[in-house]
Amino acid sequence: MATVVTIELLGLENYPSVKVFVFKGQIDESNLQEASSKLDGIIADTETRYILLNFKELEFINSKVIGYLASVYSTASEKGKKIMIVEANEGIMDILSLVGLTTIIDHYPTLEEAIEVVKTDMEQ
Amino acid sequence: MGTKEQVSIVLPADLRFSNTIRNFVGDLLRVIDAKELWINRLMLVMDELFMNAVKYGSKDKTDNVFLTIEITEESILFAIEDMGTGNSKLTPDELQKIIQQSKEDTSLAKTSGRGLSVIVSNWTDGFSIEKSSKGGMKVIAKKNLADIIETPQDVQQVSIDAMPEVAIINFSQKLDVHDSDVEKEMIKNVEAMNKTLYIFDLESLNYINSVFIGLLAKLYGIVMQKKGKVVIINLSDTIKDTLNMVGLTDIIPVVSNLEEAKKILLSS
Repeated sequence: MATVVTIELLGLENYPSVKVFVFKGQIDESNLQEASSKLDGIIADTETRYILLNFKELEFINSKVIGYLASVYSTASEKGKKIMIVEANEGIMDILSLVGLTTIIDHYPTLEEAIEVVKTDMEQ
Repeated sequence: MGTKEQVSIVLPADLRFSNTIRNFVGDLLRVIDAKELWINRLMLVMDELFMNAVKYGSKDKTDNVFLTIEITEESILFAIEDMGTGNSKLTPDELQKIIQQSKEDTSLAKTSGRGLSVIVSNWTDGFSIEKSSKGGMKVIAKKNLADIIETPQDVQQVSIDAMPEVAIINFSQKLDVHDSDVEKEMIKNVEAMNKTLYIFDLESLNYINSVFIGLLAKLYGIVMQKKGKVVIINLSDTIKDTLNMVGLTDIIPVVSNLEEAKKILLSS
């Protein structure tokens, strides 16, 4: 019955400033705090510059989660960090596009593509 | 405009039931052959309405939230009511003003105010807010069925791969293709083919509706007129259940792959 999400945090070999969060399941108001507590710690982490949110297996988000993502984006930007959305499925992209989040948060169809962008950005 | 279906549910005002409500709405929309895109959208609409009723219209989980879904010939209505015991003591007019203000705030980075003003506004064909007889607010959102229901041309795109012995018909899901001739074309092609042995490959289908079942039956009938044979391959469990339910698997053999199908077709 309860809404369930699992969030896995992955590092990228030789790129300690890059963190990848892999979301699986659904997020709504009932479990947003569980999800946000994991993400907030990394946003505060001074070593992390790039945060990739892998939404490939994320099945559901609502306006509360969108509000949180907007807040994450603002906080991260203030701290000079980059947030990227990767591999979001059609349903998630549909809602992100509707609310305009895709115009402020970079999004990539594959993780590899996002990582290339990160690497290029790091070299500059 | 007669009422086709009405469902009413009373739930505790507890956000842990959000998932239950979403899944219920999703299942109901699948029953009426709604498109997956719209199933996802309307599940979110319902989630937003339920969340508001719990958060603003209810004091705790001992309260109830009342959901009514009404499906008419033309539309689906979602009505959600709360008991008005929550912190929010807004009138319907005051809530409408807040929604209007949220619509005018186009800041993309805003952290709230998207539920009713963006999601419900954009993904329904209108919603109204009125005083509920349960004590709180009643929000009624309407969506026209014409936009959300599958039509045959939405669902099927077919290619026919004629082998020396048999013809393989590949059905694939292709949403939002507005080619009204697809079904007729397929029937015409099968009628015209100089083959009597057919394999219906359903591997690419995620779901089927009553229109598709009708189409399968028509194609089967055409093959029978030719005194031919048909085998279905690559069925998902869900589609198999549906075909079992309507009895099509009693008349058309189902096997797991192409090789098995050929063996059956070429066996006698």
